[in-house]
Amino acid sequence: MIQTTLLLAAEPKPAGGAALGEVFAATAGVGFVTLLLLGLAVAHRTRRTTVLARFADAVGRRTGRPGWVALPAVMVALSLITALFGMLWDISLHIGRGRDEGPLANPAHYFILVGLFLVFAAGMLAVVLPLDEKPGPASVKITKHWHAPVGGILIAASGFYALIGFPLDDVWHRLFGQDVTLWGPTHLMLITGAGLSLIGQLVLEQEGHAATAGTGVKEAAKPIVLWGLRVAALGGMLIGLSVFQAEYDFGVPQFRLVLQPMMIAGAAGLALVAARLVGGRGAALGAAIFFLTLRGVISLIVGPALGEPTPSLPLYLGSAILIELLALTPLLRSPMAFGAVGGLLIGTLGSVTEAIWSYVAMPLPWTSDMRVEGLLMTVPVAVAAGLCGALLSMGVQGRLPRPALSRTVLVASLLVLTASVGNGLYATVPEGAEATVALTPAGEGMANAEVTLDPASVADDPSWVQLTAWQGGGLVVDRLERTGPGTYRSTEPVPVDGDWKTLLRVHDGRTLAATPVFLPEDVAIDAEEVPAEATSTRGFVPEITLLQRERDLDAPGWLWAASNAVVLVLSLALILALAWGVGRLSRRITPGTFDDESPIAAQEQGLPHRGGALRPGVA
Amino acid sequence: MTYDVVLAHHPLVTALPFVVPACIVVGLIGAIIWRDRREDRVDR
Repeated sequence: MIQTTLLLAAEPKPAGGAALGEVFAATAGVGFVTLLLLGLAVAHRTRRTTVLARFADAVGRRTGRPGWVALPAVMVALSLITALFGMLWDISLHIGRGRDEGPLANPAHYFILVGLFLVFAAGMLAVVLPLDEKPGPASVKITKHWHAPVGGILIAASGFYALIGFPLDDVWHRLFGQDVTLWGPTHLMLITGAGLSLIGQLVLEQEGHAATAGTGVKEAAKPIVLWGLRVAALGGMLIGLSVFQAEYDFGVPQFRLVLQPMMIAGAAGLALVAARLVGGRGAALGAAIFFLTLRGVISLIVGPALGEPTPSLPLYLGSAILIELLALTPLLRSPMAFGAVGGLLIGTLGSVTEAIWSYVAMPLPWTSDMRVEGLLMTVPVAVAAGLCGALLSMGVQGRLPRPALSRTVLVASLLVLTASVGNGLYATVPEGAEATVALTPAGEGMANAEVTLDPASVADDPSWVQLTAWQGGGLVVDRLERTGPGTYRSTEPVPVDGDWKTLLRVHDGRTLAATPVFLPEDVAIDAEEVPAEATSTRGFVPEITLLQRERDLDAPGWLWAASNAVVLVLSLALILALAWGVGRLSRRITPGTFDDESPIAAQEQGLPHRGGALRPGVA
Repeated sequence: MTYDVVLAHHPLVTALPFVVPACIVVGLIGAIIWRDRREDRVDR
């Protein structure tokens, strides 16, 4: 039975539950759209209308693809842009204003949910559209007279996986309290589902091309348009994989800094290697520029336009140039070796360019204390990602290596990623360490601070000693100026009043600790105020206890483990489904099927060319 | 600021708007596949 609670003149910001009015309004809206789409789909498949087919074919003619590829592809692109905007806006709202009043009380959530729902709907559209034909050689039988492209199924599965993350997130909040971090397990489901739907998109596009290639139908779109579509798909994947870094982009990471270069190199390894191998000359560079343009525009909308904290973004250009240069060597003809060496270059030289960029554009520049550990984590992940990027490109080109090798590479890559992330998540709090903070008033609700660490060795060679104030209507990250051994001072006034939560944060090697400077009373989670005093000496505690005050850290360990296991099983199911789909496509198409579209990529990798002139204008 | 709202205290309620329609669509396709395979078996 559904329980409801009436909160009359309740305390500010309840810590869970959706307002029923919002639930009903959203249900009515989405229900209407679903019925409309279902009605259209049924009418299409029972041939009562040709509207859907004609519309899809019209889009298809412009992009040189069958309608069952073109229309869903456009829909996926628009849906993902919608969801991406929602995600970045949502993160900035949480950073600037704190927790939600409920899962539907935050306007950004609607963009995320509508975007993810439409990703699912786009996948289903690709499943429903093909009539009287087997849509490509890898299509899956639904009934005797209905076959669905495997790419459509993968897109729908990715969207469905992401959507399931939403109610699971609500369950999670009720079991463990609200986890105001991007890296909550259920939050990761939303991001992962959205990002990986682009693998389905890539598969669908290749199925469409394979279907067209077999018919002798001349494609209408110019080669440069086709090249651009592929670059956009891989650039989109780069965007999707980069969302995991968002806390670092805003300057409020809740985990060690050493994870950031690993994530950047991993995303670059997978997406840029695949882009160059699939798209041909200039595709890796094109994917990086696509990333910078789209993410840059959304950052500007979220920040300056909407007045929320502005996210920075990684550069990727250095890594893209390295991949383009590597492609000038004969290694290009051996994709797996190309992926491994490409990953190595991205993990080393590419990371150097990102390190320099971090001093230009990142709120928290990379420091020398993480150099060795950073390389030990980043290089293996980049190589693994490069190999997976090569596998992906070979899969959609119909020439996967033998299954034993493919599976070994995939499993080993997942293990490398798990080990690196596990190491990155391991952080310590120095025992008995404390900080004395002396505040000097600097305007209404603002103060300058002088800080003394005891012992001074807490921050020998720190990644940061900073004052962070957030969730009070904005974000202030002040990297403190060192004035002597263990002593620091603020470089600008920080808020210590109202709803602001102001912390002193120290990160040095594995040390990741914080101490409160000011925390407001929070009745909804039964938290007392930590007042801003003229002089206070407080001990360091794990950051999570201060940054995620809403978390219930007393939940039973078995429940935490079981809940994570559920998310893990769902995630592995999606990864296996994607691997199955890519493998199915690879087994059923002929190498070189796509040389009409990307003749340079095909020729330079030694793929058989089925005829048709090489078009130098492609890249 | 004060709030005067009725909150859903069951997670499934918040699943209604977006997840339930997706589940219904998946269920429909599943039912179509099941019926087709059953007809196949009967034909054989």
